Amino acid sequence: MTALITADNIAFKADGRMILDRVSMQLNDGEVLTIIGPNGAGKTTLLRMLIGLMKPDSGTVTRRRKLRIGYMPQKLELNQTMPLPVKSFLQHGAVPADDVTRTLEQLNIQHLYHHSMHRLSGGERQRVLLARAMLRRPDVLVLDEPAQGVDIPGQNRLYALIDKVRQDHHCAVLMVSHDLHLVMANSDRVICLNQHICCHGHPDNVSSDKAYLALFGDMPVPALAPYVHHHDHHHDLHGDIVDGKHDEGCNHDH
Amino acid sequence: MIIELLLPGILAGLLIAVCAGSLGCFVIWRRMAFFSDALAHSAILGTALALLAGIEPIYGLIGYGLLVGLLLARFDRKLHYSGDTLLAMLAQTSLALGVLLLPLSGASFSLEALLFGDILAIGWPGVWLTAGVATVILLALFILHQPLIDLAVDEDLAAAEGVPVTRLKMVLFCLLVGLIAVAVQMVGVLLVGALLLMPAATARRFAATPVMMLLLAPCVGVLAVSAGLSAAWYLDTAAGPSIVVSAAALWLLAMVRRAVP
Repeated sequence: MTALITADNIAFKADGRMILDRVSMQLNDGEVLTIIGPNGAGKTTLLRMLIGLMKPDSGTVTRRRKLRIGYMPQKLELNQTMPLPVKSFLQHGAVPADDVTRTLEQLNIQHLYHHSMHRLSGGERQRVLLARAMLRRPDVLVLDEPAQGVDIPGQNRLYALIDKVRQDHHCAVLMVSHDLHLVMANSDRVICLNQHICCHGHPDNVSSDKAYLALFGDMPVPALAPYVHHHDHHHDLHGDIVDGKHDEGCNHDH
Repeated sequence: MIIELLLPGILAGLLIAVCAGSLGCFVIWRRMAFFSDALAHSAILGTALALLAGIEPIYGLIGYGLLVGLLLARFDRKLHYSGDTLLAMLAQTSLALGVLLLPLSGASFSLEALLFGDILAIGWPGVWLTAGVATVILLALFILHQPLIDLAVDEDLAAAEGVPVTRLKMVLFCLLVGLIAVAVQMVGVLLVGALLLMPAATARRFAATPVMMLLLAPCVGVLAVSAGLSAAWYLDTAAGPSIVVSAAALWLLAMVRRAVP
């Protein structure tokens, strides 16, 4: 497997507060990698660094040459002074009209083609963003909290859709989320982040990892329960939870 | 007034209207209205410095405009003031300093002409210069309109998709400085901003796509300049303010219509 994006020991501080602490990771071709963690864990910052929107204070991020990124941002702050129908939003650059039609059908939003971007609901807007990302024929689909502002049945459908387009297009997926149960099942690998990488690996292993349990608790798994974060993690309460996957950064309090 | 006297002004005015219309779309999309106004206000110091140095005012305008942009880009994040505070202070200082320095140059330059424009002062050399600047602006917008639209939609999205965001912002800024430099003579430093904003805002009422708005705004600009210059001709009013009032009137008229979403 070849690495699409590699982060080597990156660190970042904002206003004196540690956001990312010596994070090293790698995204491989074709895999679904999900970054989970509580609010303020640095998930979005890490994602932005991986795709080159921000630079770390130290450490390096390398991307494969000419890596095509399909990015679905957390929120799109559109300015009403620009008239922006869905068709203009999607037909930027030299995208063949056929492709646009096919992608819209695939995402079941062909009826939105002539609508204004300013009038879309949260779920519709996310699907249009997904369509734009897919139209780039990306090597990696980068999703920042894709289900935000989408109702719960919609979230399920959205994740199923992401899974489907990924299989059709054979691209890697890099995703940030805190919808644990919805994303875990579909991921090849999960990184559990709280400033540093607490644990990582296959979802089954991660969900039984002590660091993960300390971070998210042993929650029951109702299929459609909204995720509520119970408590932050305190390594010191759990004694020696530092195993091979941890660096010494886990020994301090958060 | 004889038409030969006004002809260079009319031609320059129409060229400026076309450029200001389309460039103005990016100004309002990227919420740079205040920025373009401040840039125009500081142009007076550029003129004063050029006259003191004994060179053509236009070079002072362009040089100082670029310097202001460089300063802002350099210190924007580091001084813990928000961008608009810094920008306003820079513009006010430049305006005041320019007014103080202007008499020292010894040149016979009317302050009123500088503030509100003097279309009769535009000669044929001015038309050629404007045509040159207009060609650069229109060519750049023709080639770069799609990435510039992407930039205006969402900067992060554009950057992630590989659009060279920083370089495009520099290009947009330089085009703006160039336009303001040639437009100041026609409408003056206080009213240049209106030429950018009003036609674009009017075009927004009718345009259904970004490209349509980019094509419509220059037409509105040409209408405003034509109406303003006609008023100046028949009613003997000041040309610069007449153009701006015409542009405002067109915008008001457009407000009657229900906006395109």
